[in-house]
Amino acid sequence: MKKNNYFIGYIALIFLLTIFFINLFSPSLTFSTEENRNLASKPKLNLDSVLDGSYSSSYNKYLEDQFFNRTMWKSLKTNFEKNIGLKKIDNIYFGKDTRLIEETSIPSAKFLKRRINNLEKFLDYYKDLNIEFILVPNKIGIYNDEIGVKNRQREIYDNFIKNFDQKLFKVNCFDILSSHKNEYIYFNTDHHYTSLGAKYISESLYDKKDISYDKYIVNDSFYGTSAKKIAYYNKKDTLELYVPKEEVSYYLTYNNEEKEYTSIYDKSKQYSYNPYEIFFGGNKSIIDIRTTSPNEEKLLILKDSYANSFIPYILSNYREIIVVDPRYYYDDLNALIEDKQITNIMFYYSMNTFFEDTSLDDMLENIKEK
Amino acid sequence: MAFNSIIFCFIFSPVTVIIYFFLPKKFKNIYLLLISILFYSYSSIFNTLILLLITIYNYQAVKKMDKLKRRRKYKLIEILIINIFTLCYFKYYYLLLNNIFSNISFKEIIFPLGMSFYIFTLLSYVIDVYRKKITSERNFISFSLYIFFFPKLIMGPIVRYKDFKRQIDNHDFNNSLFNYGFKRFIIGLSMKVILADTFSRIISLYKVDSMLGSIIIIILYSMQIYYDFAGYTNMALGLSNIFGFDFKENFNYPYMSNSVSEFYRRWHISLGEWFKDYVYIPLGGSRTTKPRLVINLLIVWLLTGMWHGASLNYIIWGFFLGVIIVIEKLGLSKIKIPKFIGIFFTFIIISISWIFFFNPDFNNIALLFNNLVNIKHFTDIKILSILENYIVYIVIGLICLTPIVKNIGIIFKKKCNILYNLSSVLYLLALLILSTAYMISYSYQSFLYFNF
Repeated sequence: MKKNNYFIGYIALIFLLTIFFINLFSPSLTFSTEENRNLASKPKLNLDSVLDGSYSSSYNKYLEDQFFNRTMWKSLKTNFEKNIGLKKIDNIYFGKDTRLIEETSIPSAKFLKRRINNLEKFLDYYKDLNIEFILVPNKIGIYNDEIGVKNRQREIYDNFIKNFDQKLFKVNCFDILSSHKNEYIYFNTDHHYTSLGAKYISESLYDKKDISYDKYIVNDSFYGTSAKKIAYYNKKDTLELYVPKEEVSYYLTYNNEEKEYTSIYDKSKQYSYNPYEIFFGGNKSIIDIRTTSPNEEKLLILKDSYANSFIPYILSNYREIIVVDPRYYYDDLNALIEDKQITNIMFYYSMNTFFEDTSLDDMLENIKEK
Repeated sequence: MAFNSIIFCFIFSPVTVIIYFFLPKKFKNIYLLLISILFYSYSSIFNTLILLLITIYNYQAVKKMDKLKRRRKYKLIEILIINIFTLCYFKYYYLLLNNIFSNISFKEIIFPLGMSFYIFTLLSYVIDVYRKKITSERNFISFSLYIFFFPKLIMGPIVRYKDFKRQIDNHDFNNSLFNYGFKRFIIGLSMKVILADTFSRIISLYKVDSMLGSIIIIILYSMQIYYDFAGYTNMALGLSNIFGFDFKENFNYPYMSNSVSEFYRRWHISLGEWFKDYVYIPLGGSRTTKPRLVINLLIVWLLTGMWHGASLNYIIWGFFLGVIIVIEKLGLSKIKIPKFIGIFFTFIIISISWIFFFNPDFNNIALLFNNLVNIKHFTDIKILSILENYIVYIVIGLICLTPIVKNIGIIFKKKCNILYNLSSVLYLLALLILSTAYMISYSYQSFLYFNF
């Protein structure tokens, strides 16, 4: 067997040398837009780092990060694995028609106990306020049949709401979105739902009918987070906005800063890495929106990014809307609720964040005891 | 520098090979020695210094021993003790201290990469000179290259001096060996990065929670360690071929063995032969009384366990295999059964033995065994979804444990040589490209902090 291996040695050597030279002459990058992170730079050579071996490991890291066209290589692996029949790569399933579906995050019993406990305390403390929960399923909660798995997300939801007064859960987003599942309610390649999905929830929640909207296409060719995570680039997504024809006027401030804005849309994000950030320019710790709505109620929303595309539809329903993202907000929530004379509180989350992120618990645990 | 790292595959190996190509023959050995030192120093300069000291000591001491007419045995014992003490110091000292004085924390001694292999290589050399099977090496460059030769330095195989000596002055660029070497290197690399690393990731995804889960994990252990070690060895032997050396095989489809004894004649062959030649036979081998045979076998296997690592689980692993081999030698092997049944049972026993090998934590061992016999709880959702997703890898992994692919290749080659050669070149190139994709992908991490 050792003879007649033809010329594979030469071909392999040429391949390795070619890559060597391409890497040698390709410019060093500092940032990877696909991975959204800083890439390792060339480590500085000094005696200490050479002696303790840390130079070698940082140099390895540098070579990995600076390998030419990393995304192409990752893409090659993803496509190969998809073709040999893998249904899921790095927690992302391949659904129908290039739909990428993120895995459900399953909360531990400990997590659930803590969450339920905190919420009960909170609900008791603010029982005079009007509180509701909107938990939006992720793609896997609607399209689970496409990938042949049980709807765990729905089970988690159903089990969770049993612990509370059903009035807190006025709308069931699983039912609302399921009835529109053939429409473009989720991006194919991003983990968010679309403005259309949010629109259906708002219509159901406020019993709005016969509202007419202007539809704008903001970006018709972007790849979302899921596509970037596994470097699977197939069909592109479109970001659409639905703006109610009769809108109230409003202004808003971010993070308690003085500067006032007159639009909830940040146009600079239109073609950015993550066009979904066109809503409020991405997640902010606190947003204060004041409107000219005849309705005098004041709403506090505790939320994740799913709320960002929902808020545009409810501006006319409140005089003031305070949007707090517990992942970035560290101030006193009691004081905020009292100062702003909040009348309504809404928890607006996607299922995966709600059952994964503990910053909400950290915030609720700081609520004063009565 | 690991063979499956980017620096090795895309910088070190192409550059060193191309220079080796054009170097006059008389410089080739010194060149190989220098790049081997560079290779080893990349991980740790300190370890290189230790190895240099050990090499110089052995070179001088063995030369001296070879000249002695009398009292050679004392010199031998001195050299053996120094080598074995060095190995034990680095391997067991820290662990022992930590176990005995668990309340005091000692500065950790980092075990020098490849020490278990190079000390055993040296021991074989010392004993062979003592037994006058070979004469001591007078050329320091040749001797150092024997120890430092980078393809085999980190993970073997343990090459005997007589096999190395034959080639050290005669190796040169050899066209068919060069091509064959790259073929092996590519196959080894793909075994490591496509199969072994995937299996290791699957294992890390799952906490055993059912009988099926336990079975699958054990099968994955068997495949992970094989593709990891045999893959690395393929790269080592392939690299040796590229530089014109040709060493003995270290693996020969071990999972096709009919018995555990046979398995270890086909798995890490160079280590098995080392123990046979330098421990088992000197103890009396199998031409002795039955009780003595049992003791000999158990000694060999306890030492084999200890060689692999300092923790208790390796010793249990060695003892477990020793007991099985004793049972085989004492009569089980005389029972005639169809070959495939023998292979099946050997696979099961070997797979169970890996439970000890892989788990320093005894809670894990208990968890695996408890689930293994838990018929009431046959399966769980997690393992089913893992199986469903990764079934292709598992099937490919199982097929490549057998010589099926190789045999198909031989038939194909007989039928149509040219077509076989062309398609095998394409196949290997595809494997190399794919392996690169796997290597790069492991470092590919999206930082999606807004992923909420």
